[in-house]
This record gives sequence, structure tokens and C-alpha cells, in this order.
Amino acid sequence: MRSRLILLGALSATAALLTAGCSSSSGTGPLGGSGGQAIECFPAPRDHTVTQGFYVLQNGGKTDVTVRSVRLVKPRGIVMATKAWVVPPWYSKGSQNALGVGYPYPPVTWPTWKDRRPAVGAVVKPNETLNLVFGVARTATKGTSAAPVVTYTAGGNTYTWQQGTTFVMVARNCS
Amino acid sequence: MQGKIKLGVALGLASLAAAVIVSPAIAGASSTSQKLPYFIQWKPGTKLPSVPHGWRLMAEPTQAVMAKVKIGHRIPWVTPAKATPNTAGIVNLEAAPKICPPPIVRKRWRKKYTDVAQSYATVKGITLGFTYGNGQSSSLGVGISTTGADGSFTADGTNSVSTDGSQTYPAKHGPSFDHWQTRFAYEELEQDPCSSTKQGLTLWYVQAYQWDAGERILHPSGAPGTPHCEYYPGHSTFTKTTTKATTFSAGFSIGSPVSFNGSAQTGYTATAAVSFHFRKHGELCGAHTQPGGKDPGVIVGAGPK
Repeated sequence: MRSRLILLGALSATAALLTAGCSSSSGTGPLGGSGGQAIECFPAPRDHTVTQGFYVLQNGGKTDVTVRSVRLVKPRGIVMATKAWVVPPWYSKGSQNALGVGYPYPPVTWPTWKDRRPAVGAVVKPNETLNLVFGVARTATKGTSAAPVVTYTAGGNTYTWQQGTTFVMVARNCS
Repeated sequence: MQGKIKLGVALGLASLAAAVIVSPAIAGASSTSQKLPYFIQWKPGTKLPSVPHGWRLMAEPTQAVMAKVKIGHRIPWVTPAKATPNTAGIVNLEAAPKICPPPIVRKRWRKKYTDVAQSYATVKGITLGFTYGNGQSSSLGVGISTTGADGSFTADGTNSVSTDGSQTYPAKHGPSFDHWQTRFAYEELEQDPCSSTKQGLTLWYVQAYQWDAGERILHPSGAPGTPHCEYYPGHSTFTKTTTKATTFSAGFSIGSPVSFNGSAQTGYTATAAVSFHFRKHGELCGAHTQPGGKDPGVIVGAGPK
């Protein structure tokens, strides 16, 4: 069963690349590198969907970036409970703010939530910054996941981007 | 990302990968427009950088051997193939004309405090922590001078000094502005005139050669501007094991008679970690991007908007 799932996953990834109609590239694309390694931990009630809005897409290149997929790879005790969105930053008091983590989902009180777009198919213009936002739920005592893998196309190439921050969800207190 | 903390000198350190422009007096008349790192950190197994015709790459011996070289004696260079990496897996190389002998140790300074991380909490309710771990590599800027005179040293490359122990600093409760420091030993080296440099100048270097352990936390009067923020709920934590490309403007200072001030750039290791613990909700703010971006730079814990 497990090997069948792996095979299906591989076929799915291959199909996604073929659908994109682009050549894949192992180099660093316009979304840049991983940003280094970090771990964030936040509390959330079990089986409740909360906002994961920590990750930020920044197009540092000269061509448009089109997001093709957003997925968590082998999360443990965490599920991606909603589709992924891109949300413009909220500018306030000289700061450019992203949602961060732990807001109830959907984050309807966030000033720019109304301007959200589905992440898949979204275009990030050169020099543009967009907040990647999706709902996550903890399904075990402790959940752990690497950052989402974002597949995108730019300039005729397909790239993947994964920020270096792993996230952990617990019931009450991260220590 | 491989682990290492990177420190550099105020004027010249951009990154390990970036070439350092060798001054004409150093590069020699035959290659005055040559760009190459003069002091290079090299990871065995990776490709050695190329050097001009007539030059060679030589490796420093281990930190333990370096520490035993007496004042007035030459550093026992070895070939890169025979070099022993430090505990972070790095070998320090020097590019020099083939006829140049190894430099002579002229002066030494022990236990010079050097920034290895910086973090800030502007409000109550945030606790800062820092761990500097075993196998950590600190890349310290090399100063170079053609006179050895006080104040004449400028930046030229970096070398790596690695730790053989671990130290955890006491937690600091916000509001708290913290520059986390440890100590390194530095030395001044004299490079004999080499005829291939034409000018025949003696060169003087200042570089770190050993970790001296010890911890100190400096408290600057303010926090840097960090306008890229993200919300964090109470009882959450953020632990960053790299702060890539964060350059500290005054990482270390060696006073007269060389007056060489170094900056620090931190990153690349899982054995050094800066942590923020939010007892109540707040924000985490980066200098260049949100902490969830590709290069946040210095990170500050702040109150909610």
C-alpha cells in the first residue's frame, strides 16, 4: 500500500511538471533560497483549523512567478486543512506585516484577507511580496511539518521553493 | 545549509563566495587586476579555487598546532591535501606566490570578545536565548597591512575558527537588547617580502587562530529597525539556527598597536541558535524580510500592533 502511494505521488509530480509545460530547473529561481534553518512552535487546539501565514513569497527576479502547487511533504500530526492563498502584506505604522501563525481560520479580521487570491495560479510580480496563507490542523499530541513546498514557473523554467523553517504545533505551551 | 558562523571585517567582507579584490601591492605586478580571495575557507572534498600562475594555495595547520607556534616562528604551512579540517570541517587556505615562505608570528592577543549573534526584544513577555554549540565555525576577518602601522589594517578575506565545546547563555527577558559574545585569540603575522610581488613589501596580517571560550552579553542602547513583522501567539517559540547574511558592524576590536575593528556575519550552522519565547502574543520582525522570508537579517521580538 505504502509503495503504491509513493508511486502515485511520483506519477502525480511528473504529471504536474508535464502539465506546466516547462523544463525543470535545479537552480535557484526568483523566489530565492531557503533563508536558513529555523523551528517555530505554536499552540493550537487539536482538530481545530488555525492560520499558518508565516511564509512569504518574494520575487527577487525580473520575470513573473506563477505558483503551480503548494503542499506539505510528509507532515506528521498536522494536516493542511484548506486550500492555499496568497494575501498582500498589510502596511501599518511603517511596517509590512504578514499574518504569522495562530490566528483563527479564516483570518477575517486581518485587513488584507479580503484581497486574497488562490495561491495556485497566482502571479508574483518582480519585487512583489505576497504572504502565503493556509489553514492547518493538529491531529496528534504534537504535530511537525517542514515548510510547504511551492512549485512555480518563471521564465519558462519550473522551480521549487521551500523556506527553511519547520513548524510544530502543540496543545498548550512551547518551551 | 551547512553549519558555520561567519564573521568578517568591517570594510570588506561580503560573503565567502564573493571574491575579494587583492590590492596591487599584494597581488603583484603581474596580476594587479586579479580578483581572488587571499584568505579562503575551504571544505575538503570541494573544488579548490584557482590561483594565478606562479601562485599556490597553502593550508594552515590545526588550531592546536597554530596555538603552539611561538612568537618569532613561522607557521608550519601544509598542502591542502594534507590539511586537517577543524571541528567544523573547514580548512583555512592562504593564496600566495610560490616563493613566499610562511609568515612569522609577531604578536598575540588572547580572549578578545567577539559578537557571534545579536537579538532583541523590545517589550516584556518575550524571552531571548542563545546557544553557541560544539563544532561551530566562526569565520573571522583577516586584516592586512603593508606597513603594520596602527590603523593601517584593512579587510582581506576570512578564516575559520571552530569550537570544541558548547555554551548556553543565560536567558534574557524583554525588554532586552543583546549582543551575544564569545572570545577568540588573535595574532599578528609578518610575511617576508616576496620578490614576485615586485614592490618587495613586507605584509602584515591580523587574524584569529583559536577559540578561547567565555561568554559575555553586551546591551546596546537601541534595537535596529525591523519593519517586516509577523504575528505570534502566546506560548509560542521561534528558534533560528541560522541568521544568514546578518553582518554585525563591530564584531570584534583589537586596539593599538594595530587598531583593527572587525564586523561579524552569522549563519550556516545548526549548533548556534537564537530563540524567542513569547509568553503572550507579539510579533517577530525582520530587518530585510519577514522571518518567514528568504533573508530576514536581524530579528527583533516586539509587541502586537
